[in-house]
Amino acid sequence: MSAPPTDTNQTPLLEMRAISKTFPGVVALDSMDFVLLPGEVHALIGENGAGKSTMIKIISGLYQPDSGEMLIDGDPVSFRGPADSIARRIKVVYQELDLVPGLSVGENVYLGAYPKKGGRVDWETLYGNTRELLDGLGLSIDPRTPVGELRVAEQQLVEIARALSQDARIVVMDEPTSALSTEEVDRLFRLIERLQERGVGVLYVTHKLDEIYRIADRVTVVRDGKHVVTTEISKTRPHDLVTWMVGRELTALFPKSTVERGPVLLQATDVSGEGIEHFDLTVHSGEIVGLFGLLGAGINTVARILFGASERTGGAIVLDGSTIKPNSPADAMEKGMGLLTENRKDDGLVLPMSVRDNMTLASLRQFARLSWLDSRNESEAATGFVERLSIRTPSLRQRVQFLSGGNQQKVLMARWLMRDPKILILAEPTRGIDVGSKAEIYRLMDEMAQRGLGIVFMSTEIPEILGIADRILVMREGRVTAEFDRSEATQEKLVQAAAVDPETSEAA
Amino acid sequence: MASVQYAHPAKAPRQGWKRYAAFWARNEELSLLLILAIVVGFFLYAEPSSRQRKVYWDLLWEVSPTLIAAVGIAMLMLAAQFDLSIGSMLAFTGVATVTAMNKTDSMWLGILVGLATGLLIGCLNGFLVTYVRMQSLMTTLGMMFALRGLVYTYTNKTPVIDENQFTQFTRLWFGKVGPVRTPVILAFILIAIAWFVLTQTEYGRNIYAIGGNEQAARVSGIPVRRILFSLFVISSCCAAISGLLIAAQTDTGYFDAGVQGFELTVIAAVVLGGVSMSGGQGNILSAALAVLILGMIGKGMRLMGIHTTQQLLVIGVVMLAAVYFHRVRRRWAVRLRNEGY
Repeated sequence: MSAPPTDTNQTPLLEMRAISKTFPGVVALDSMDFVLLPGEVHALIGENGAGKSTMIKIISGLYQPDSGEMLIDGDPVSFRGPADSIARRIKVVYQELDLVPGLSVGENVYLGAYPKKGGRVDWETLYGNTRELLDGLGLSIDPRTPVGELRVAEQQLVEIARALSQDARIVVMDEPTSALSTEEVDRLFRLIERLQERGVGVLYVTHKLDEIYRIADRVTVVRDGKHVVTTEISKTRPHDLVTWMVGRELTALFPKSTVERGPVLLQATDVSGEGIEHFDLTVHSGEIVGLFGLLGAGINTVARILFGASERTGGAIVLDGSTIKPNSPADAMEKGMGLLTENRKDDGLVLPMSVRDNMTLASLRQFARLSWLDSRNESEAATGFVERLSIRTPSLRQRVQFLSGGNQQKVLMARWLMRDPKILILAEPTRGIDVGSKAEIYRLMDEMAQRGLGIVFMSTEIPEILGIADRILVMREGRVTAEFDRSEATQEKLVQAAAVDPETSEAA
Repeated sequence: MASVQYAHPAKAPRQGWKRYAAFWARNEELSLLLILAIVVGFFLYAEPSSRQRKVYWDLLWEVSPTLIAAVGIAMLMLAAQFDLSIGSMLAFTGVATVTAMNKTDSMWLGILVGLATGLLIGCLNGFLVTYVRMQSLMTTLGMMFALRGLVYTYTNKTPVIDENQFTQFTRLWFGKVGPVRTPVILAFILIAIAWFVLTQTEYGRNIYAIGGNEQAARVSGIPVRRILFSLFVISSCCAAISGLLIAAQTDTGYFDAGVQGFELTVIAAVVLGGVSMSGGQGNILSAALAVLILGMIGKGMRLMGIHTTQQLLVIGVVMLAAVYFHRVRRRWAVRLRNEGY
């Protein structure tokens, strides 16, 4: 659209002018313009593959642009490597943590820049300063704890503390909240405000639109490597942002059709295990039951216990009339259950395997004659699902690790749909994927429900659970604290039930 | 969606040499075949005595125990597990076989006992790793010491000689079918079976899945433990077969069989053959080719009369070079794919 508004009073901290970056075969950035002002929080949004990460990598010096100009404080710069970028006091907080698990928090914070006294590491200063930083973040972590012993969320905050210790002027954050709880997000945002007050420019990359409205001053949308728009956040509606990102009107992010509720398919009674107590659940055919909870509420544990992938210590689960043995995924699958786990890469995808082989992994028996695989049959089935789920891949033989997050998730969905299950458990199926892919996954869920599947849908994000679920259970600390019908659920009620201790105050 | 959406990166003008490079870089077997050709070519050029057919038949014959053991190890390593006990297995099986033959005066019972050692140790390894959940590297390392110790204790470090002198037994090693020696045939049959199992069956696919992501395999309902257990048994049984062959060579149960790093040679060959140390990637044919390459280098140097101590040096250097080459090849494969070849 238009060129970014340039505030004439201030020299931009960072300016990109017509930056292009081409990888042989792919144009990653196409004449990109971007301006980051001192003291602003600038959100950068776009679908996966839109060019956000290329932009970050150019700023961090990992990539060199093919053409165009980059200016820091008005000086043209050309970074030959990350060291040049760091020298200009740019700090990038990557999504994948680059912490050393065996080293302590303090050692990690000062990694590569240990304070020294007479040639030896000055441990007192190191741990003292780290303590101060952590206090500032409201974290009560002992700086001497090995990082590997921290929870992922805490590790992420340590990573951010590291950014602070380096006294950066430009901080780039790549989806920093993906593993944080609501409280921790609040802390992070307070911290970002403090950075802002010090005149630091923050480039904030995210998929979560609500965060943008809470924290950002301006927003830049990229699509297909091109600058789409830069605007003040107060002047936009979320709907506009989505339209800009996707490049078309997303008429319905949540295509919810009314499905006649069928007979009961899944009945879990008084299920317990691994921090879960007295869990009851009924799922009817054609119904989408949402399970909402904040990080640590146990929603994903429930998913695993139902499927038998985590230990069930008590209770009964009946699927379509037959009782499911505890702790046996094989039995759950046999009786018609499927589970999409919340960590695609940890326990879903087999990264070095092809798209096809990943899809057929859970249903090989159906392609095997006396254990001999009929690979043509396999390919046909896989092609069917590539079409039906519109999975974007160069071929069935492509290794799944080279697909985008959204497409990877669809491959996993295909894995389970191939078994033609009666009940599908989806644990945070949209985590970390772009809006377009999200919409497709919602559409699929809706379509499956229409075909009579019962779906259990775990999520930590309120909008999607309100948008797609017929019934919503809210969990807190391993227990169900509330249940709402689609018609009566609101954001406030969910938050209330998920966050407030029912012991101290009566939850809705 | 009306048709499949295949996102092709924009076509760059394709240069001919890169297309060939991509082809070679992508095909492990071809690159290894090329290396084998280079090695053979070198010795053909440098050593006149290598210019006869017999040399190559002998090569196959000599490496057959290694090939057979490599089949088991490759399958195990594809599932991201190790077995270091196979070197000691050679001695254990050999000694057990010949002892049993002497005690029972029956060759067949002896062979049966030899094969049973494979089953026994395989089950033990498998049980410890999959059900007691001990780490495979350390478990089989312990087994390696324990078995060797057992053999030393039992034999008092003297070879166990076949008192009946079963000539039938030695034919296990010396027998021929046409021009081909029995062990070679055995090795090729096992390789063919392993190839078939790994590429064409559900069991094989499951092995790759476990090696690629054990958690994902488990959540997909694959019986991970049972498969891993079976792989330890396969690996041990392959080693037992190698042990039988080696015992048949001299009609003796030799206490020091495989003591010079047999297990490491096999693992090195399998890894050179492209089987990933972390599992899930590689194939049996490449692993077999790598065994042949290492075998050819050793044999060629022996023909040239190079001293054993220097042979060791050369083999070491060649291995380093091969690992480097492998690394370069992988990098090219990725790079050329990114460039759209």
